[in-house]
Amino acid sequence: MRNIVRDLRELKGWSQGELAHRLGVSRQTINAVETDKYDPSLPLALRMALLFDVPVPSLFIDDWKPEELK
Amino acid sequence: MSVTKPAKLRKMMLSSGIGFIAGVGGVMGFYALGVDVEWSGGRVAAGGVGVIYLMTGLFVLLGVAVPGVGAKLLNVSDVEELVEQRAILMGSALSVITLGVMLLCLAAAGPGGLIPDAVAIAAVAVALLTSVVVYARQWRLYDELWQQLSWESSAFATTLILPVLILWGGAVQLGYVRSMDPLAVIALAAGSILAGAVIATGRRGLLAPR
Repeated sequence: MRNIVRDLRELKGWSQGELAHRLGVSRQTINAVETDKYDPSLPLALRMALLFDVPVPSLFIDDWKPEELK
Repeated sequence: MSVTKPAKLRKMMLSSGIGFIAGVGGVMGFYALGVDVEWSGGRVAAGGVGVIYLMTGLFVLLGVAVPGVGAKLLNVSDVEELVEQRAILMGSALSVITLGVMLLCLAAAGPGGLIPDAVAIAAVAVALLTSVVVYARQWRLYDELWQQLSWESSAFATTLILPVLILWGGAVQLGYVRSMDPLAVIALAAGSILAGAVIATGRRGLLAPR
């Protein structure tokens, strides 16, 4: 699953450490999310979306589509 | 702070090189201590895994104690990150060091051993107690990525050790092979935990130099 966390973080002018602090997680977690090595839990994804003021599906992009929409 | 690729490669080669030299030196030093000891397969395995545990723990402890050096040796992006993770790394180092000493003591004790059995029993008690206390404390410090990695490490360790124990134990029960050397089983368990952690972090790409 791709995401635009790095883009939005840089847009805000925050470092990885600053974002980690705001979300109450480690810097490794932010780094792992940004580099697509770790998909965050739903609560963390919701917190990120709230912080960046975007919907979760805009922040985390999954190419999966239901059969009827293909 | 961004780190260039050649710098990352240099860092990886430096830490791997030091780890390799310390590991080989440690294993050779340990076996050289007991030239008169009869080295069974279990003793060799427990001693070898024990040295790896001890060296890994000392490496991390050094990194935490001297963050400037640690940032060059450990897989962190900078000194600040190392300082942020100090509590977790310190706990892990303590647990790994006591487990390494325990394995070395068990390998060096017993019939015809280098050290009294009471020392090995004390080392086992200290290692188990330390690990339980550290793990309970660590869990509260972990964020969701660390907790996930911890679950995955345990799952991989179990997946590695279970088939070996079932096949080995089954073969012993059926009389196809000799009985298990208890030290080999302990070494196998300790080795599986280490391998599980490496697989879990490697699978997520978290071993890539930062």
